[in-house]
Amino acid sequence: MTLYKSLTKNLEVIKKRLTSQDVVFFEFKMGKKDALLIYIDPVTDKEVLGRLVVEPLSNYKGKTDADTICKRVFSPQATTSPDVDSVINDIELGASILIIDGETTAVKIDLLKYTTRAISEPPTSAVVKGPREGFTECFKTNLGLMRRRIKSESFVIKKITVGKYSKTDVAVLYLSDVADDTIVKKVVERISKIDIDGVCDSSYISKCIVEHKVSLVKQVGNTEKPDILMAKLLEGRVGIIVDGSPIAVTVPYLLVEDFQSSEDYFQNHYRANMQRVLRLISIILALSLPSIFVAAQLFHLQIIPINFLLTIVNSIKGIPLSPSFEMLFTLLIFEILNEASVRMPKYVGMALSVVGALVLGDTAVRAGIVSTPTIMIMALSGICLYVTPELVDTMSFLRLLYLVVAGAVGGYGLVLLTCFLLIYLVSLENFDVPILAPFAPMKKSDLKDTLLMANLSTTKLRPLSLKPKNKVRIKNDES
Amino acid sequence: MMSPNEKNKLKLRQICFIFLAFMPVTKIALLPSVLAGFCEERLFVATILGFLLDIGVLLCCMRLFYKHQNSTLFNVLETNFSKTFAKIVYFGYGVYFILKAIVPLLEQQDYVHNTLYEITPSKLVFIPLFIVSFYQSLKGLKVLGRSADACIYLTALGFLLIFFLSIPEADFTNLLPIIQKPTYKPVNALFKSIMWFSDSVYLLLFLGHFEGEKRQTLKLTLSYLGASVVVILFMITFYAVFSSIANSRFFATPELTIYTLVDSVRFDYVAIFLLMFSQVFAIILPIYLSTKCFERAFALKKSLVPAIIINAGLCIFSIIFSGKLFKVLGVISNYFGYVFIFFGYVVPLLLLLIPKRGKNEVKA
Amino acid sequence: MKSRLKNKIVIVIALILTIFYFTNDFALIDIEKTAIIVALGIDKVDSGIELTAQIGVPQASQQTFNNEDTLISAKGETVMEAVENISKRSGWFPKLSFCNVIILGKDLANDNVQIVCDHLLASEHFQSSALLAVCDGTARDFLSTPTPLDNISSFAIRKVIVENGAATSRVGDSNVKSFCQDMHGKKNCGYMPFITIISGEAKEEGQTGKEVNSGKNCADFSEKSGDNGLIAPLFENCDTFSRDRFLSSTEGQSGGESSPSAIFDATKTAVFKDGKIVDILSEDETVYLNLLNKKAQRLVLTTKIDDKSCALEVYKNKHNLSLDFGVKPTLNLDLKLTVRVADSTTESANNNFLGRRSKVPDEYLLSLENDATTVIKSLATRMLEKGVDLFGIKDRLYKYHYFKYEDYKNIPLDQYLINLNVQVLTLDSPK
Repeated sequence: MTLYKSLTKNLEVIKKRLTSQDVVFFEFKMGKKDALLIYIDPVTDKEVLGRLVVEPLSNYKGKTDADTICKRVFSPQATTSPDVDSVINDIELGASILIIDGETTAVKIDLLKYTTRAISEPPTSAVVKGPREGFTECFKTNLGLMRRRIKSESFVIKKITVGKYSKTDVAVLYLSDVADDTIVKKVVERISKIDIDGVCDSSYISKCIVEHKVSLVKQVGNTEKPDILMAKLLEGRVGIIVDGSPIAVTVPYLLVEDFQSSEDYFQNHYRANMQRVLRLISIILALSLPSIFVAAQLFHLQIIPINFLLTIVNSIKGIPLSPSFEMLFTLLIFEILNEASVRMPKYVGMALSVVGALVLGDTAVRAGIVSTPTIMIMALSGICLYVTPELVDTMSFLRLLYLVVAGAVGGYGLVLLTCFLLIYLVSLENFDVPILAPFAPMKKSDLKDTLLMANLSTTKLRPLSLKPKNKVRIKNDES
Repeated sequence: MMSPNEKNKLKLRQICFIFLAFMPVTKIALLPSVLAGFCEERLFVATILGFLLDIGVLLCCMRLFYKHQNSTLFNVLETNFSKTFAKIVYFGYGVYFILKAIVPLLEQQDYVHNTLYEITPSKLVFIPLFIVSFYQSLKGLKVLGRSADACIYLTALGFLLIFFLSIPEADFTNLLPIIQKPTYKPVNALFKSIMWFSDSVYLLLFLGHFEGEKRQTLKLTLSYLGASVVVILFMITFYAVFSSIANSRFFATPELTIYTLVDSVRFDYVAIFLLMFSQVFAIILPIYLSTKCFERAFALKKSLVPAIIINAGLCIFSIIFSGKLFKVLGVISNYFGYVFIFFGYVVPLLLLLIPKRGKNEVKA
Repeated sequence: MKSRLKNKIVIVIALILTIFYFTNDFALIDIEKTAIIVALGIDKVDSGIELTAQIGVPQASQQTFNNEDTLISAKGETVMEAVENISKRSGWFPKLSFCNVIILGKDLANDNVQIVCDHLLASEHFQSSALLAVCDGTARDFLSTPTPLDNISSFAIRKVIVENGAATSRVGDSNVKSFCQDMHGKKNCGYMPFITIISGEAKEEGQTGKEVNSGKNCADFSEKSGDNGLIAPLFENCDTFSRDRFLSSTEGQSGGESSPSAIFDATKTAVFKDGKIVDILSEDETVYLNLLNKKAQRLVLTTKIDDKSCALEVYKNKHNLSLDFGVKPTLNLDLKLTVRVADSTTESANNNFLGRRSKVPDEYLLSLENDATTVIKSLATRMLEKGVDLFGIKDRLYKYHYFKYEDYKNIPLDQYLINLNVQVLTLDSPK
């Protein structure tokens, strides 16, 4: 539906559709003609609007067609809006619309001003060495952070609006001469096809674009830091930034990514290797320690050294729960404490740790409800789990599964469950990239930066598992 | 063998890893003591003979690969004979692979009960294996190849640990005299234990399902040779540790390392568990191939039905014959030895007689 | 539809797992109902054998190393039957995989240990690395003997054999595997440490054994003081008693000794042929048998000239056993010892000891050489005469002279000549 020539009629039509009270209809004289400026109050920079649009136009007496007006206002973001629907849509997206009496095309000026928080270090990816900037909830700020880091014509940002009501801006970022076209095409297609009420966070997008909707493990990578996103784009991945979310999504995702930290690349690679091995050991301990302990107690006493076994026998005397149920109970308490400590206000947090550590832990042992080794093992497992924070979701579920299998079937059950998970993981692919690459299928050159990493200068190729167009990332070898 | 699917192809490396990771682990539980029972310190001679035959079969398979331009065995048989004949051969191989799975299956059951569970657990403990096997049967060959990619590290680490911990206890003079008066003991031992060998026949069914590479025959032969060397070294170490009592040391892998770890933490169990992962896949492999053979023999679109029937059947079998490994072993070696020789060695040789056809004659 | 089926399958599996998890219905035996057997004593009785199991019992204190033990004994015709009796009548499931020491009674050693050892080897839940030893008395008494070395007597025995003895080549250690290997091999003989008890200077070994270790005393006492004791004897064929209480009974009998004083000695070696004990090697013979078989560590040999002693530390022992088939088959025993002075009561040696530490005076080298020659010669001659293949003649014949094996395998051992060559050298002081 095109705009009417009559300003009053246009005002009437638009007012009928935009009933919200934060929409401002500002009428003013433009030379001899009447003009109407429509904008949403909380998201528009009114001061700039007055200075760049109203002030220069109020004394203007020339041609009033939309194209001419676009050039007269002092804003590079002035474009035309041809019909009522697009006008309404633009207003909803936060643009200011100028309609002049007698004209059937409106002028759209983007003068958005959101209140956002400042750029700060993300709490989940704190580093000692390396950049500390993190993404914010502001879409433009996030894109700006990326642009500041990649100044290349190959750096492409594709914008897509998703959400029937939220109309959230989603940007797909990639390097056109590095990222695989098929992957880019698939990402864009899948995002465009999303038909959803609204997008509250980037995780909405990630859940919609993955191939396996129900999965034990996560299938997209995510980061809160622009330097990590940049590194991932340079490796040939595709990034997704969503308005209102400080977490960027990257695809394709490899499981090994979560064992890597940005800091690994900023410090001595021997130290980095040590830390990666520690992360691997931690995750194995977190996952298997409670289950192995339960299985050993129930089925395989022979794997416990005799002195430790006697200590266990000593400590479990009089405990009413079976080893498996005892561990499950301790895990339950641990998860409750964990959940409570995240949700509780900070000033109660301290009290909670006291209650958790002293009252529940020590007193439970004294009261003979749980044994000391069980508490120690669960505490160790809990701490180890947070060494790789990205894997907490997956691993805490798997830990429970392992525990149940260990209590039910013992060590052989654990072997079979691991085999089952291995088959599951090796068959899991997203965007045609296997999640367990470069181990299964093995890509020899990619192994240089996995659980162990080679010196950066010797890692000349990008990860081939990601099928990059341009495989070489370091050409000159000065070593 | 399987419905041709480009996406479901193995890499040559993965076949090498299947040999390296899955082949040696099936030969460390009962085979050393069985061979020691038949030919004492010359158990490694029997092993070498077995592997030489296997490598011969592997070379036959590669000859077929070149001759028929990487066609599947089914296509080769169909083109040269008839579809019905191909189906019959596939049915035969389906049965053969079930037979081939039985011994490692019962062996694994006893091995698990003996080494891991002091108090003999319920037969139900072993049932989850068939869930894993069934799950694998529904997945493609590619998944099996990738599993081999992952398991190769576990097998390597497991064997390294076992060798590292058992060699201090080994007295290699127990293998003397190397040169002895010729007897047929090793040959007899090989015949009686033939069901443990002929793993290279898997390659026959991988034909048409892997991408060719440069020096592929050499790579495959070397990988099989590598796996054989590991097994031979294991046999040697086993006899060097146990000598005169070797024939009674069934499932003695954890016992090999115990003498070095007296009074300390039994971290040799790490090796036992690491190898157990590969052992699970080694058992699954013939079951999987059997499923695919029946799928092709009965021209089924999906492997769901044969997978359910075979896994359920083997599950029931393992429950009924739990703890009767030696009886089953006796029956198989006495009555089915020739079946193993026929499908494991004779058929690949006979297949070499099939003449080479033109490119257009061979179905893609 | 497909995903619904999947969900149903997952739910069923989850349910089964949960049921198993909460019931653990695998005839599972709880850790608290498990008797962790740390040592076994096997004695011969009229009706078969008597098995004494030493069970590790942790103390209820926070001290993890302050473990105690309880002994349970049961009779049976076979080892397995006795184990079953322990389980049946005590209510504890015997866990054998922690059993590291097996003590065989002297009566059993005189009868036949082969059947027992074969059973232990064949048992799938038994560790074949468990140390074997034969004791001068009954195994039950030895296991119930208190010792200041450890709270658990078998731990003390183990220490004496492994950590103290075998490391210095003073004990002819053996485990189930190696003993059975020797017995089933071409040698058809084996050896294991012969344990005696030393209890203070005043008591002689034999007497000590009798005084300190009376099984009758144990059982009687536990019967009488059932109120105070931990576990009273349960049934006719199964006695249970605590070492603590036995300790009190000994105190009473021996006039108020305040602490246990029994110390185990394992320097003698019992030699077996066809499953029966045929000889007991002296301390010196054990040492030289070890020197001829394995590398010595921290071994000190003392030699005397005119009542002046010189302790020589064996730095290196080179040994070689071989066979020759000339006119008569010959066993060549070569031993080359490199020694240095460890301590001495003589002036000449002490001068060397202070000045050039390693240099040993020639007279002491010769003296040690003579000592060694005498001991080895007597040992070898005695063994060959008794037909005990302690030096593995038949094993060597098979391994290194295979083509002569058939001709010589039936020749009696006493037909072999012994060619002994002992050389003792001094280690020069470092430059």
